[in-house]
Amino acid sequence: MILLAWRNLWRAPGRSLTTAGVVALATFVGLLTFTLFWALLNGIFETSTAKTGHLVVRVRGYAEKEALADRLFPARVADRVRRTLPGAEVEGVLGYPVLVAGEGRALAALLLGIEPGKRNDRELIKRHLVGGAGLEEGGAVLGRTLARRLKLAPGAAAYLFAPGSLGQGSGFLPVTGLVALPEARMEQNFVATDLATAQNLVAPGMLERVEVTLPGIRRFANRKLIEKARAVLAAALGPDYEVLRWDQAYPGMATLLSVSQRWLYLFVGLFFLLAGLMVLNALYLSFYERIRELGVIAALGATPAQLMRLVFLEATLIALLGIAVGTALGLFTAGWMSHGFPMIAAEEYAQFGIPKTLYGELHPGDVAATLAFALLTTWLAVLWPAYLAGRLEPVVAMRHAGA
Amino acid sequence: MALVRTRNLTKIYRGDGVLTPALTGVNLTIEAGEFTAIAGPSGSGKSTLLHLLGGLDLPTEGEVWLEGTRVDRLSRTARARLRLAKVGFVFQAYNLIPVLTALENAALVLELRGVPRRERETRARAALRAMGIEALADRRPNQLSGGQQQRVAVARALAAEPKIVLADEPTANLDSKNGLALIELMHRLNREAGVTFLFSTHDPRLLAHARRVIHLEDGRIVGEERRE
Ligand SMILES: Nc1ncnc2c1ncn2[C@@H]1O[C@H](COP(=O)(O)OP(=O)(O)O)[C@@H](O)[C@H]1O
Ligand SMILES: [Mg+2]
Repeated sequence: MILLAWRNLWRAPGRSLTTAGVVALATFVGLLTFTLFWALLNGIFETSTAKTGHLVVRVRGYAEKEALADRLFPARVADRVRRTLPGAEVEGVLGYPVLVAGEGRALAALLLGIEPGKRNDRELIKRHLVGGAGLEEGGAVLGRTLARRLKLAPGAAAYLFAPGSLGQGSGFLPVTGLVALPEARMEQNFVATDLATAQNLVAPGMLERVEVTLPGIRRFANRKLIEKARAVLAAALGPDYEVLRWDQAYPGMATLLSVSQRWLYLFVGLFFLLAGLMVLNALYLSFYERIRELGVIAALGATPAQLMRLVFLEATLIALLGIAVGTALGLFTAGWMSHGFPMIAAEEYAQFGIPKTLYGELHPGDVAATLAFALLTTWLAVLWPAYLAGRLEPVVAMRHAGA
Repeated sequence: MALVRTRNLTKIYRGDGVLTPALTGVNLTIEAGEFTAIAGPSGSGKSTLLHLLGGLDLPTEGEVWLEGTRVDRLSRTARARLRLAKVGFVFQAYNLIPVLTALENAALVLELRGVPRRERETRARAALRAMGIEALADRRPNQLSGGQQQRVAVARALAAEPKIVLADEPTANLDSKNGLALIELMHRLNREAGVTFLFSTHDPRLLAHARRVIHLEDGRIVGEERRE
């Protein structure tokens, strides 16, 4: 039976190969789609955590605190974080709403006190700097839009006023840099200075949050490690503080990722449906051509079950061949992409937070899902001809003109 | 007990609202070891009769018995099993499987029965030898002449050692020399190996070989001759 099915494959090698090719292509594209998806996810993960860090420590109930001062906590908490998570990059940040005044005009902004040379400096300021020297002690870096509205150029002095302050409350800071940020709203109210200057102005020795970047985490799949570190840190800091993962602190990003994952499954599913219809077409054709021959085999004494098995076997051979080739190609490509590959049209995508180099990734579950999809669609495609083969009347079939 | 027996066998084809009576009230008995021809003009019901005897199709009325089994009462699968076990078929159009070699074609029925490869090849080869075409064992049907193909088809039926071989106009597509040679071969197998043959033909020259001839006309048996 296997011999007969195998020989039949070679009867119209062109069509068999095309059918196997469709299955191979579907499998390959399925695997490639998963790999690319993870690469994009890793890219988005990498750029967004580069900006936010992996964990954020804040006062518990941060959002409900009415008085701004209640959102602040002593800077030694950052030391406790350092001791709890050795090897992590820990940065104390003091965020606080202020009024910034320039030439005859004052606008509300969000003051960010950050440590020079640390992550926020590197990722927020150096990366987006469009004028001036950057973050300097006692100076202010302004969002480009904010600076334009206040008619403040590098070298000019900005007047900052922090309402409800526990420190000096106000002061002149020379503008030492301008940044163009990806989000317009952020650019309109961005003003940064070094942590010490901000503390002087707002609250000496206090922080508003601590941002933690864990070492060696580059991939979205590492989020279990992040959760582990979060739990450890939350236990060490006690009930007065809340420790959030980046996706909890910025839920919009997490939602985007889970929605795109659903689209991905839909896309892969539709692709396999299409491939399944093409395979069905090819298999039905080769069945139709051989109705007469199947009738002879039936007349000789093959049971309906045997006929179905013959047709089924043939399709399965084609499918397995296609799946094997597609999987080999897919795994090979995924292996290549896991070492990093350049993003197509990197410049255009940079604004969505996708880096220039992406790292592909393929999870065993994705491979299993793709293979299951491929086998399932081919088997569904073969059920129809197999069903027809089982219902052939030998006398009628033998009179069939065939192709 | 008769090998094959029919009682009041009737077949009416119905298609597109038209009723075509193909067989009417046929009573027939075939004993093991016979070499019998069914003679009749085209459209007289020869193919229909052979199909009903072999359980390929079901009668409209009447009974078909094969070795004590009521064939027309069996399910589709049970009829297939019965054919596989007891009936050999030879068709007018050879009907070999084009992707298989002569040897593989001859072994096909045995393969359907689940006979192990080595054994079925030995038996298929023996059947090809009996048909005088062992040397062509590795050829595909399209590399064989019509006469050779029909010998492979007979070998396919013989290899499974059926109780009866039903051959529907096996020589109709052959020239008279090859047709005669085929019938002579079949006759020899009947005499020497005891294979029961029932074949149909409308060629009077072949009837000379048959030991019993049943004449069919318009779906009825109109006469019968026996000779020794
Ligand atoms: N499937 C069918 N549908 C309708 N009529 C048929 C069918 N098969 C055979 N017949 C008719 O039954 C009659 C007997 O046919 P058949 O058994 O093939 O005769 P023979 O084999 O002697 O030529 C003919 O009139 C033929 O047209
Ligand atoms: Mg006929």
